[in-house]
Amino acid sequence: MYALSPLQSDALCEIFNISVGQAANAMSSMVNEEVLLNVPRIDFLSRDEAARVIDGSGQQRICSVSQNFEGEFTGEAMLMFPEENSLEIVRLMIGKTIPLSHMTELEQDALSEVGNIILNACVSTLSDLLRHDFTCSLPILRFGTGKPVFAEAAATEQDVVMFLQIEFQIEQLNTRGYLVFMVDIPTIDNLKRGIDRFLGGMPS
Amino acid sequence: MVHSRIPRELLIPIIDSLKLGVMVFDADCRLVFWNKWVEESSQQSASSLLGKTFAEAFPELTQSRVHNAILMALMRGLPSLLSQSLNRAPFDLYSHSPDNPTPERIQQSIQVTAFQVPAGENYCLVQVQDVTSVVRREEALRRHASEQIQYSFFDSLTQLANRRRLSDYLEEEWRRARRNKSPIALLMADLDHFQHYNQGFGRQAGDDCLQQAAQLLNNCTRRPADLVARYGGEEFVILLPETPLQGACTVAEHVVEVFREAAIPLPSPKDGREHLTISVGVAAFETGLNDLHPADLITAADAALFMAKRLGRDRAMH
Repeated sequence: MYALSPLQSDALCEIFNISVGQAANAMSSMVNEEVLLNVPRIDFLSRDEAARVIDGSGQQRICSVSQNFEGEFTGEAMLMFPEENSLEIVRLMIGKTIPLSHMTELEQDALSEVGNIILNACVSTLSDLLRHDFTCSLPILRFGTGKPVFAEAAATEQDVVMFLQIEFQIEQLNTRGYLVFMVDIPTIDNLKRGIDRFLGGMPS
Repeated sequence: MVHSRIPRELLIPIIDSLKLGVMVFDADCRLVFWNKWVEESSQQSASSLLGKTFAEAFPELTQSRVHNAILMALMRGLPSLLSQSLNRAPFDLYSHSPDNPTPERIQQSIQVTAFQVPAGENYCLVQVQDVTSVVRREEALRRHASEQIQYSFFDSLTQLANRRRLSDYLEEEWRRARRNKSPIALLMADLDHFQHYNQGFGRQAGDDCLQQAAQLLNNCTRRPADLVARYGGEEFVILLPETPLQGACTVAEHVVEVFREAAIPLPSPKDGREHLTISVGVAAFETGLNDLHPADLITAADAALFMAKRLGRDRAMH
């Protein structure tokens, strides 16, 4: 349905990699540790397919940070990590050596901030591609198993979502998360035009 | 809408009553509003700063994360959250309470958002929340947890670190060594013929002997970063951060010597020896930690210990 050609797909990954790379640099200087972010893959999936990928084996608990954006069109950007890894990410970033059994209030704030930095980088890439600025909400943090977390956020009607895989690396931790853009179909058409514009502007 | 009926003259008193810092910047990043909470916490009147750009008002925060967040809100409409854990207390704000004569720096959680007025101009709202009490509560929680952990990280017989503590500490020191490109060494030590000792003198005497051995090993390390741990039965580990192979071998030779000098008698001679001895395997990694794991250090020391045993015990090998 909304399959991208290999060239479009590579180009899109490249654009997002540049912006998440900048987000990673910002985080590295905040925590004095090297943080690496990478977008190895982007697909357009139906919401069901996306939920299946996120849910993986089924009952894995995940943690999500999402931001709503509004403008000529509305949508939601949502970043998801396995809950266990999100706790590790935060603790490695904060550098606290005493682990508590649950995520504290301040740790949840830190996690929201990490999500916020990554989401802002991706939303601004999207807005460059669409040549349109959004106003955007502050991040919302949710915990739960994949499907409900995803369903709760995806209250909109449209069926196709833009689905980015994100690799997050800090110290010895190397984890994979997902970033989902839920936007309507006309927006996706705009997006494909944006990618083509980008490709047209590239030296061949 | 109900709020349109709020008299305009009430708005400022309401914002000034908030227990929350409110600052507003215009599209040129000039400070246009600063509420009473910020005035009181910064001891700076709004009138002295209004009209100044962020960089003029807060020179020490130029190009900082909060500055960039404000610019991103103004230019791209993107909001930012600055958590206390990752940013501490960027603004110079202090709580001045009558019961505390020395003002305390306020721990801050900051929200930066963009808004537009009907005329179309962009503004940025910065809200500063005082999270000092949350920080204090979590610190108390951590202190309590750390006391609990103390209990679960030590071997009850020898009072040495246990295997769990060793594994955590090795992980930490490994990361530090990799980051600082410094060497890290580990000794694996095993009492020779301890089964024979146990069988001859009984378990109680065996336990006493392990305690004495722990004491001897503890005396062999001098630096605060060195860690002696009981690895299992009669097996011990000494972790030596910032130590190259040569230094680790010196410590290992010293361990063997200390046990010879202690001359702990065996129930009957074994291998022609009348006293309890110890064998030590040494491993040290000085470079290339990126391609290795902490477990590799243990494996290497274990292999060296095996060699020491095979070559007749009572010696250190690397």
